[in-house]
Amino acid sequence: MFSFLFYLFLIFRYNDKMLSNNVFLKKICLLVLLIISGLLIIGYNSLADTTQLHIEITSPASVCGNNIKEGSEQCDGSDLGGQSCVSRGFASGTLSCNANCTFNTSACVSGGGGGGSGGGYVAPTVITQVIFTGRAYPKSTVTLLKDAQIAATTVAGADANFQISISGLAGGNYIFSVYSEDKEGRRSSLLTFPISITQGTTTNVSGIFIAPTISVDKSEVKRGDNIVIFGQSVPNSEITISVNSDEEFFNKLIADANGVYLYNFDTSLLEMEQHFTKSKSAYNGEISSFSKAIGFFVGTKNVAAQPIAKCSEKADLNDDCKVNLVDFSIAAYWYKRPLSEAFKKMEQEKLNNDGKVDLVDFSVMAYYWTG
Amino acid sequence: MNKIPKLKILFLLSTLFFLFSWQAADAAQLNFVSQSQEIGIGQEFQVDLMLDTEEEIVNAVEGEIAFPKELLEIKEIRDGDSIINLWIERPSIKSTDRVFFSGIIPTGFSGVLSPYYEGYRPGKIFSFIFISKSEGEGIVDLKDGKVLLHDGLGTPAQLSILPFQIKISREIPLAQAPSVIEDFDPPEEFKPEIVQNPDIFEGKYFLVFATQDKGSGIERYEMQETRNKIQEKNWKEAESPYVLKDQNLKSYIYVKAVDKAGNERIAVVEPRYPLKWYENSLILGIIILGLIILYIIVKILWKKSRNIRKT
Repeated sequence: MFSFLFYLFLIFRYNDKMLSNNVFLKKICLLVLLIISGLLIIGYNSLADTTQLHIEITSPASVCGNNIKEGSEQCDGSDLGGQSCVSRGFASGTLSCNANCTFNTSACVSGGGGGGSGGGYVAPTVITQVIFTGRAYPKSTVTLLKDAQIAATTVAGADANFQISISGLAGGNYIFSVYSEDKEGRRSSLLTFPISITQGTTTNVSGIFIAPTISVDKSEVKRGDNIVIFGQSVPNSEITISVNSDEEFFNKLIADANGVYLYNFDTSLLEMEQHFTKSKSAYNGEISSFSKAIGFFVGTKNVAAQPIAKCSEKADLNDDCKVNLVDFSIAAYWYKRPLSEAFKKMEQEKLNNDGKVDLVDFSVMAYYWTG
Repeated sequence: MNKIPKLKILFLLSTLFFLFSWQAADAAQLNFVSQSQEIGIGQEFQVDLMLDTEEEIVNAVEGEIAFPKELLEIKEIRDGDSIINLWIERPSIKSTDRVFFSGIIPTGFSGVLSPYYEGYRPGKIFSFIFISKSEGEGIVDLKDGKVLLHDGLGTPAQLSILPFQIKISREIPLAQAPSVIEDFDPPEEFKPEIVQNPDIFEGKYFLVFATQDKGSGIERYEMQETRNKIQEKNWKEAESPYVLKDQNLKSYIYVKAVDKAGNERIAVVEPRYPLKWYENSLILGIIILGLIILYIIVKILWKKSRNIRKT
């Protein structure tokens, strides 16, 4: 950042003199300006890709020891919450507070009736929860992963809005991820947010916007013919479709009331080679990240695209359509061991095909993780 | 006229600085963080290994920590609040001067978010509690460090490693030792799963399990398989994946996760093929006992009735 500012300063400060005195410097200056503007565009685009996630705490943590009775604390230091020995069922005496923010009734005096046992210690109930709200696809199943394991699922409303909450957490760093499946069974890319959770708080994570799903009708398209790019997102949202070529093409359209979008892209604009397309969605000022990129070839004939594979072709070592702890355990068994002939084939097809199981294979598995 | 060479130099320097800083900003960083680099003898101190992804999304990390054994001794390794969800090799204390670790973050990691600050912050991989042994200077370093991108290919991320320099001297007064983690929470709930795969354990059934403990970290797992629903006292230390003894899957399986503070969480797996009533020794025992009691009662009653008849 400082180097950018330094550059700009130099250019504006000395531009005129340089240009008038030296042609070489003029070229350098132009080159530098080009680099800077290019980098600024890249920077802008990467910022524009980011989902606008909001994280806030709605109920404050109970801090035991700050002399303020909060949340589930019985008392805190001198703050007894208006309680006394009498209100606690004793005849007289002085009520005080333990270091763990529970009542200390040892100096309370029982009445003539015997007083009873004084009751046991009731541990304060501290609820730590996280509430996730956002947009997926109408009536789609949204899955929440907590530290790589499925923690909860919910069904989004007809307006694609969803809310999931989980509680009973301890304070600490968690890696949460959400994904959804559209009505055709296409899975979205994972949206991941590692969050530091404070014990005894309710943390709201809002503004989650799951990227649209995307498919194409042809795996190869004859140059000049149309290719259909389609998928699902939030109803009536603005979809931006990007087609990557030497030049990147952006096209915009509005999804229908079910969130479905469909665009006929004219391939006469494209070279005869492999291309990729992806889409993102915007609604009410919120923007999703880009979907996963899907490839197609522009050539001399039309070839229909294969139906969507329900299961991941990669990393699912036990063919149960999930990539989870089971697959991790199978791969972990072969870690740093010579592979059997059967597993060599598996490693070739479903991992990184280098004849051994090492960190790279686990990285491939982590990418295709479903929980 | 003197201004042009100056400008040339300025441009050259700033170009180099710009290119260097741009490249450095792109590289993920593994670095060590500690409160102090100057330590007294016999001092306990904490060193955290932190991962700063510099806006990249990564999902796998490994490396080997090398430290001067003549200067330092590891008292404890804390991985309770680690960003690593699944360890391929969990860091552990060994008699060498090296600690190897390898783990993954399924679904990827780009930094830690929080309601208390803007943007992403580095995540902790694990912490060492060292004890300084003798005077001298040394380096805690990371050898063969690897961080892989979350791109489905396992592409290595550009990585910069910042070693931790340490100076141990008698003249430095002892500071307060790192606080002991107060952990009253059991490990998180988990669900072990019975699996069979022809590629491993000769196709035998095995159990996979894993959980987390955000406080003190997982110390160990213990398990028992029992044909009766009643838990026994004998627990056996185990690791996932675990080959089941009862390959007929008629047993209750109990898996106990124990954290470093001694808190426990027990998960139960019901038998896939529960015992028939006549196979269950407990039920059989109760029936036999019942029959014996019935026999005794009948015999007593019969004796009594015979005595009554005699009189």
